[in-house]
Amino acid sequence: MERISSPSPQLGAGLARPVARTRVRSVGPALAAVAGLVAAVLTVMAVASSQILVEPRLSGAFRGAFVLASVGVGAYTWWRRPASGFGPLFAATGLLFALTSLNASAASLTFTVGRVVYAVVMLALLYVCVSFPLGRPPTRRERRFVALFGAVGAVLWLLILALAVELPPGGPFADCEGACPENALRFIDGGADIGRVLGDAVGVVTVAAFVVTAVLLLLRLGESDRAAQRTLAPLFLSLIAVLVALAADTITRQAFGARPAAISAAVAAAILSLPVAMLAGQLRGRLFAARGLGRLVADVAGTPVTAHDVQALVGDALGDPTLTIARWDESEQTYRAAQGGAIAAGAPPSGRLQLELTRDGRPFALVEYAATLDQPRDVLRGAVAGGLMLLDNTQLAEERGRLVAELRASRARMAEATFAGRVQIERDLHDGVQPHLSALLVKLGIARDLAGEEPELRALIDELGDDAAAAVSELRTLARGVYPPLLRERGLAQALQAFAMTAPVTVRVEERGRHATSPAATAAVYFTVLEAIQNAIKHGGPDVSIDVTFDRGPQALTFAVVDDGRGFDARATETGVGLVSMADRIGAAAGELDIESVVGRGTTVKGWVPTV
Amino acid sequence: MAIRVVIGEDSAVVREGIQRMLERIDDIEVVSASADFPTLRAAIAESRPDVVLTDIRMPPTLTDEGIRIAVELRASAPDVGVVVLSQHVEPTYALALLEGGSSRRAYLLKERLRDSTELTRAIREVARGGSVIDPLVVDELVAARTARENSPLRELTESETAILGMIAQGLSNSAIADELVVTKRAVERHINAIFLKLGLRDAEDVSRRVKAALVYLADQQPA
Repeated sequence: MERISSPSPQLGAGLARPVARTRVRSVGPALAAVAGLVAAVLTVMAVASSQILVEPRLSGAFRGAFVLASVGVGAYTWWRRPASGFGPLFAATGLLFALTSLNASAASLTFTVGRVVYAVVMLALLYVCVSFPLGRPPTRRERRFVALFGAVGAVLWLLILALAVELPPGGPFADCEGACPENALRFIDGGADIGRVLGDAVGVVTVAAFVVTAVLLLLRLGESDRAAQRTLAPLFLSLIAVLVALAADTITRQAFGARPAAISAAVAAAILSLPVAMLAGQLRGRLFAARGLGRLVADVAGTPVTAHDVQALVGDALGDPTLTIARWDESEQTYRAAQGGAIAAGAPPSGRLQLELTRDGRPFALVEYAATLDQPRDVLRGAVAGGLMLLDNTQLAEERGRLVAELRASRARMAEATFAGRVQIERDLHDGVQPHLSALLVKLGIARDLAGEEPELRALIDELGDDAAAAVSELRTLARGVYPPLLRERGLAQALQAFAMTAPVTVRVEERGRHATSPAATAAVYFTVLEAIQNAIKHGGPDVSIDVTFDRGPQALTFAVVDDGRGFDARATETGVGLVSMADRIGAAAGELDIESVVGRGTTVKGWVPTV
Repeated sequence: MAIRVVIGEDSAVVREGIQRMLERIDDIEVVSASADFPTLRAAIAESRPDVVLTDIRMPPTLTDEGIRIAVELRASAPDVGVVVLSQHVEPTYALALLEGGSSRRAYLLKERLRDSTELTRAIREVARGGSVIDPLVVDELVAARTARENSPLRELTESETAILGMIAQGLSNSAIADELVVTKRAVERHINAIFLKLGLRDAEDVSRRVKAALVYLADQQPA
């Protein structure tokens, strides 16, 4: 997850109060872990040395393992998700379980307390199950159920403690056959049968409670999003295992009055699977979030997103549709949500939490999310940082697009201005200079006639005529280079055909289609193609022949100048000024140019410009 | 009888210059001079001249009004000759002028104004039914075609190439003979040889062969 934000390490590196908070965060889990370790060791020692238990070693191993697993998973959860109460709750349940080792004692009061603790642990375990993973029952129906089960259990146990000589069995491998001490708290003798009936009732109620817990969980699965489903699914399976094992235990005890070791082992394994399932669920949920985030980045990368999209995507990936991402507004000095409203940092509404992200030590973004959101803060931070990076990318891409469009437009304007300039110069030459030269020529003609047979005068007039004719010829060449009249009057193909007529090699010009181009684009194509033809004539060899084609489609005029000359090695040739200026001309006309050449096989210059 | 000429030229100085130049020629009579396309058209309709001497570009479009007049007259008054004065050396314009046929058409560059004899020769030639193409236009074509590696023009002798150029300029057999100082018979033999080598027809018809030669030189498919 951290890798997503790696391009800007500072991004997401900080909560607003990062260091102090992290240190405080790890004290509770660490203490719990140490306490759990100590409790597990004491449990194993106390139970394994029991004088009354039939299977002291197995019982000790099971109880030690459960204490260790519960406190361990609780501590881990506490550490990863300090905001959730589930970690301390589960750790406390594990520590409470250690006290069931009291029923390994031969002293009847200690033994009795141990058995009662086991009953309380079962209640706590159910509470843990319905509270997973948030640390408290998600709805009223779970709270009511736990309360009901507690009440029924309390009534049954009060009756047992008051009446029964023999207490109900205390979990797997907790049997002591005839060696069990009697109920130390009994004050009325209710007879042996009463004890057995109440004990069976406790067993049935417990199985029923686990069935109900499983059903409640199933309901929650149906109401949850995928991330939560992945978290809850292992616990559901584990609960099924527990209730099946407990049911088998209760039935065999009623049928045979005894407890086969295999049944005890199954119950032990099923109960042990509870902390494992809760750990697996959390890890799966995290993994799912990671995948969701991976998909978020992979799916969306490259497509434009809005601040709204990012908020929805991150919320969806993390499983909190109410998640709000607000960005720091430097001018207003406040956080602004995607919806536009300002959000105050440090004062989240009840039931919601906030996470502040900084960049380069300055406020950057504020995430506000449901307090029930079951994601570690680093996942949240990574997701938001990744999402905002997508937003940054979009904004950069938009900015880039705007700049490119601006540059393109300014280039087109410059090309248009250049073109207009060319047209003006050509007109000035023809309409301004040409008539004066023509007048000069005709007056020279008249002067020549008037000079009659004066040889010296005639010779001088002829010299003047030569000079004037040279000026006319120069002017013609100049005007043609600026903007050939044929191009304006007869179009691209005819202007180039005219050039082809006076070319020293064969140049064929073909034109298809009727869609017109803007005058500026037409001129750009004309001068580009002309240059390509001139290059082919210059470098193609004496017997080169050149084919020029124009295809005027509804979207674009595509053109190609194909010669069968010597060609050149495009990789070895520095991109010449000529080639660059050709590409520039076509680019300014909003088109594209491509030059391919193979040594010995000729050169192709092709491209397109938009038609109108 | 004098050749009656109508002038079309938008530049007043040039128009008056041409008028002045032609006034001195006995067999040419300038009947009117116009400064734009519609006026010229009206003047032609009114005075039915023998020859129209016109600038290629005139108001209103300043493009190829001179050629448009010639094309119109080919249909409406085939007896009227047209001399187009042009600043364009491109054969495209000359070929456009000959589009409907080469008789009674002349395409001259404005450089020719410096010598009244060239101008009057063209006027007389079109009045007689002949055609004239400016040597500069033809020369450029001949040079380009001869330069080409596999051009049939390379099979022509030097004098044959020169004669082909003169044919394209509209010179008659006797004019060519005078130019080369050979007999008319020799010129005819040469011309037959050239047309045979190039695979051209109409060697005999002077007015048609101008276009044939020009089209051939311009590397255009004959229409």
